[in-house]
Amino acid sequence: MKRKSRREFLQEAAAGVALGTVAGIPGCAPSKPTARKLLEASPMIDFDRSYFTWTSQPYVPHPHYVNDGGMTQGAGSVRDVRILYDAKCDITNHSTGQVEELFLLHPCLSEYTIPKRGFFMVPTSEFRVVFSRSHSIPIAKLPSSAVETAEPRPHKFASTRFTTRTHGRYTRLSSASEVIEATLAGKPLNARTTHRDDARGYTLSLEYPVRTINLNLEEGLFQIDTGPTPLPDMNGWDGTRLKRVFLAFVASSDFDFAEFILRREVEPSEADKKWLFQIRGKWRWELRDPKNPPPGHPRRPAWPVTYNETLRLNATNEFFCAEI
Amino acid sequence: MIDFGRSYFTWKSKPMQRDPYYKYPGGFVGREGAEHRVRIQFDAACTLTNDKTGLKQELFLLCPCRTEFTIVKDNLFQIPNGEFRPVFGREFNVPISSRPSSEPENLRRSKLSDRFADYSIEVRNIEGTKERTTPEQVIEATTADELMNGQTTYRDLQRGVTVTLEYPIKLINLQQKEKLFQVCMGPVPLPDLATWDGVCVDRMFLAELAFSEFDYIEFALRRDVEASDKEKGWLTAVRGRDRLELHDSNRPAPGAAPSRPNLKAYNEIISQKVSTVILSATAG
Repeated sequence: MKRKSRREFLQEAAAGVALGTVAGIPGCAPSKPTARKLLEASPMIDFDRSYFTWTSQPYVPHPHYVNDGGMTQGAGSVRDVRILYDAKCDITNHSTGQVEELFLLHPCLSEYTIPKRGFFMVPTSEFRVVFSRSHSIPIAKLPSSAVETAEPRPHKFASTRFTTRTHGRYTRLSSASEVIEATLAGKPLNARTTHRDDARGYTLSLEYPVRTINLNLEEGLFQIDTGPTPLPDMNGWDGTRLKRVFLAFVASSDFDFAEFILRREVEPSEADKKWLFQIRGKWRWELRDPKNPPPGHPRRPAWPVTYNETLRLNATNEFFCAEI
Repeated sequence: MIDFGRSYFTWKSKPMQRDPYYKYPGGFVGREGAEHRVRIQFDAACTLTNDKTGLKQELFLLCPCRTEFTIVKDNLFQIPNGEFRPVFGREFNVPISSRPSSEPENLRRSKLSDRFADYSIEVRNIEGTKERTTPEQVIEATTADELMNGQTTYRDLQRGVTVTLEYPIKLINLQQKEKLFQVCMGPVPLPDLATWDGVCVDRMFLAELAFSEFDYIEFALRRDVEASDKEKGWLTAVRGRDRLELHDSNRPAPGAAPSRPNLKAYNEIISQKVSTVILSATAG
């Protein structure tokens, strides 16, 4: 088979959209994207160019642990950490109008910083945070029906910087055919999923890059499947702050619903615990005085995770494409 | 410098055909003859160069999604659920390992032209890049919130192959006073050079990476983990459509039934002498 050039491939595909090859199916009619200027307050976030940076307080050695926080440079050292955004969620309190912004940051593995060799902590665990402007919000390890004891923690950084970049030119896509057309044109896409609960007095607005999208041109269909996103557990919301956030992938094939799949921990088999929990190199929980451990020592190693519980929300999905 | 956030792999499926055994092959829920297009963003890239011939094989790790039924209005996610994450090149699909590097697997790369009716690769680049060759320059680029990519190169002299990884630097630590930096992020597609045959490899590892100097790197490789027996009840329970539902339950597909998704963990650590170049550009 002779391979088509990229241009030929996409032109042929785009022609299929414009022709609306199955007449009468909604979302398949030829249309031009509507260039609508959005509110200045909510421009399309450029996630692949947005960073959170913190500067730590000078390091104070832990009273019990030699390798506390993975720091290897000793007392007084100051660390800056810059992490890319993965997704964002705003929670609006209807009564007060207050908006709590949550930023899901990109993960890494837990590490020692900054040595020359031996970076990874083994057993490994994921380092992944959800930050509001003032707090770190715990990420759930259990299903939504299970209660967890973790609490939000106020930032103790010396300083923080949120560099939220936005696309200079972007277009709101108001039909399936516009979503399809923008996808085939190679334009970056974001989705904004908004769920309003009047009884409980809040609105959630998630914004995330659409990294995977399926299309059926002939029938004018699309389906996104992307993530992760920070999905708040509103059962623990006190009107201002959450107790935890679920890490969730989101899928949708329309403008009026979103299906989420929530992440949780899973206990590994006894056979696999033997290699999975084996310490190699420095031990994160090595005590200064083995005879004087703190309560709860040592912490259980992290378990693997899976996505299992699903949650469907009636929501409004808005799609945006960047003009690049 | 690849603009990973604006680079995509797009394929067009072959017209859907009725599978002789399974009701939802590949998770597709649609009429026979339907064609799907799928666009996925790049996560990272790996180029294999045959040192003798100079021929290059570019491979792209694509962003993950969860296994799904397409295109439907309800029960979109497959339960039990797994990750869908491919490594596609310009010519090949190279499978991702689920085992430690010491264990061979019966994996073989396949031609994308056999799998798809058509496909296209859109690699966008960022202009105006600068090489950052000292810790001071890396610190300067980071604190200026510049876009940064790493390009890590190493050679296998015995096999005659050079590997170049390119990846966006999504997480970086600095200690400005001591003029130190440390990149820790991933994943990247790491080739299993034991399967190199002069053209390409037959197995990739998914790896996180970390380094604090330009000539040395460590990778943490991902592999499958077995769940405990007490978790398997809910973990393997089907909800909604069953991806493995048969047309006729009395007529199973020959051979072993396809396995359900497994858990994953990063465990094996590999160190490597390398040459890493850090590129940066203003966000524009």
